Amino acid sequence: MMVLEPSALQLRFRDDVASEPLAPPDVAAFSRSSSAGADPRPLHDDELGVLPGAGTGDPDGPVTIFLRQPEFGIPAPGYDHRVPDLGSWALRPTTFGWIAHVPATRGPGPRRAARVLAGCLALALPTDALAAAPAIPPPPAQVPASPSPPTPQQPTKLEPAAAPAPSPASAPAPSPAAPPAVPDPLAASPESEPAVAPSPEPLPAVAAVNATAAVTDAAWEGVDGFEVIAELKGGKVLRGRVGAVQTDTFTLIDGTTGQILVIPKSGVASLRAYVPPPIPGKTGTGLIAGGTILAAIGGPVFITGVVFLGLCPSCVELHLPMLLVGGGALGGGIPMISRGVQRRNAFQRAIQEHRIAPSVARTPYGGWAGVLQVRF
Amino acid sequence: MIVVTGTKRSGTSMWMHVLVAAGLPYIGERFPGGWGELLGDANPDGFFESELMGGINYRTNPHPLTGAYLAPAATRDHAVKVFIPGLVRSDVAFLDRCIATVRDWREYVASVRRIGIDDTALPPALDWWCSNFALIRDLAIRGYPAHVLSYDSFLRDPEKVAAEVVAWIGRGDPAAAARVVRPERKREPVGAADSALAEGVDAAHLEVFDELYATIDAGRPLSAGFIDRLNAVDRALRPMVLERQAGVEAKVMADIFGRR
Repeated sequence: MMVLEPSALQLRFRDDVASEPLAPPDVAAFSRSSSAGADPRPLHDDELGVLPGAGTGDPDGPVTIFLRQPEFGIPAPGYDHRVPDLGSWALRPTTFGWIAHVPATRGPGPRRAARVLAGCLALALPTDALAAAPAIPPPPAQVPASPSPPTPQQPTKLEPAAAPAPSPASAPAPSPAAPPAVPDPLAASPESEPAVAPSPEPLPAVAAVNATAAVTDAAWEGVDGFEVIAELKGGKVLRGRVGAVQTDTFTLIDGTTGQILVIPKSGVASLRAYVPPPIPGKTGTGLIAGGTILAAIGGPVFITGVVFLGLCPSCVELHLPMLLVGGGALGGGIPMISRGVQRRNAFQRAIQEHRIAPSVARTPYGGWAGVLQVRF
Repeated sequence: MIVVTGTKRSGTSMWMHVLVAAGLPYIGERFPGGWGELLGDANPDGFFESELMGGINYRTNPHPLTGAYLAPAATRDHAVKVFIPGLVRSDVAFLDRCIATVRDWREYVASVRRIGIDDTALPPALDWWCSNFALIRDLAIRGYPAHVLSYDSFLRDPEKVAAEVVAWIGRGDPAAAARVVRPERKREPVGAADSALAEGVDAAHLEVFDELYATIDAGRPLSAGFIDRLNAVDRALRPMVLERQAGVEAKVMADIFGRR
């Protein structure tokens, strides 16, 4: 047994120092001061994240945050925590949570108003596990790796067939032929866990997959992370984002309520990716501007005509042109403004739908992380 | 550690007082930061709160400022108050014994409002549910030694309950613990209708709240069927919880970004 010397910090073959405490614990160090204090708020301060935009944020734009909470309930009686379910910690490209927008913070103005919605998916990979992955060694410490944008994968001894990585915009979902970065010894089938490290050369374990099943799984993995329209066999149509794809089921995050639904694949009659409508070419600005000018001119003229009509009803040559011109300008301007506002709203809705886009990015630990890019 | 847990205003301070009287070493102060002058009426026996009430984990131990470390083996007998959100974040190595006290949700809401400590993102009734559901879930999953009892059951026979709990802990003087309990502790009247206390929680869910408390109060185990109902209620209430929290957190973000 190693004898500890109090004058030196022993780092090799140490025994448990705490098993032989040298002094009573310093409990006074943890007394609560009047100003400091641990925040006991329930369960959510660690799970909060902000989804940053690519550039400087619009000061009046919505703030989008990502919330995570435990999604599991109380286990049934008989739950044996002594049997570790190691499979739960297998690498997954998806992390569930909620996106929320800021509620109104400054007056009732629509630009300041924050809108609340929920239901989302953010994609991430546990980096510690990736760092420990035997298939992809972490990069040398002296070479910092940039998490984005994706760069061509560097060849290694374990990955001789290096190839350019897919672009973020075109490959949000893991490649179906990609090998798992960390083979799961408990996995019942190779397709139960999506791959996380794209590579053109499948490993032998993946090659053993049944061809038909692989094609089916590839199709499902292809929509993983995308917004889809699913028509169920009962006729019900759901629209939402595919949060994860399991062996027999898939997880759909309802786009309207935020509910997380687990739906059997066999219950789906058709599935297609939702493609947001194209952004309209007309923003309505011209109509609004023109209508405003007409209304601004026509309003005073019309009012003047009405005044003249009241003062001198017989002066037809005076008030009639004013009423006709002013009324015509108002009659044209107001519909133009209304139409322009409608076009602008449609344009903004289209912009909003195009703001969220899935993508993948290289992690500093040699793996891949899928993300939802939210511009705001 | 001997962890005393529960929501605020659920009797955690009372239990700390019992354990201290039993002779257990403790972490915390009876009236931290001059609380005795401000809140002495709320808890005349003291609060016994420490910086560990948010959990015993990497964020609090070693102490983030001083580096002082409480080793699990050196603090097996120490009583400490940790609220439920902190308990579920605490390392199991420190959870030698856990005494969880649960109060009726109506009394909890009324007490929180009366004292003015309604500082969470959630309405008190919803906060009560989230905390106690998290407590039961954590006990079921992690399986550390725990004893869950109701506030009312303690007040009905405080000497007996205190002696039983100290005997279960296996350390301390049960007789001394029983002596400090004051049976005349007053019950605070609620004085408000359920609808006014619930703040949006459906009456059907409130029935489950009541049933959960009644089960704990009677010392009955939770059946599989009842656990299913608890899970169903939690699933039903979760969107409301998330929506409330999202609003509060987003306001924080808005402050950070200078948008207010």
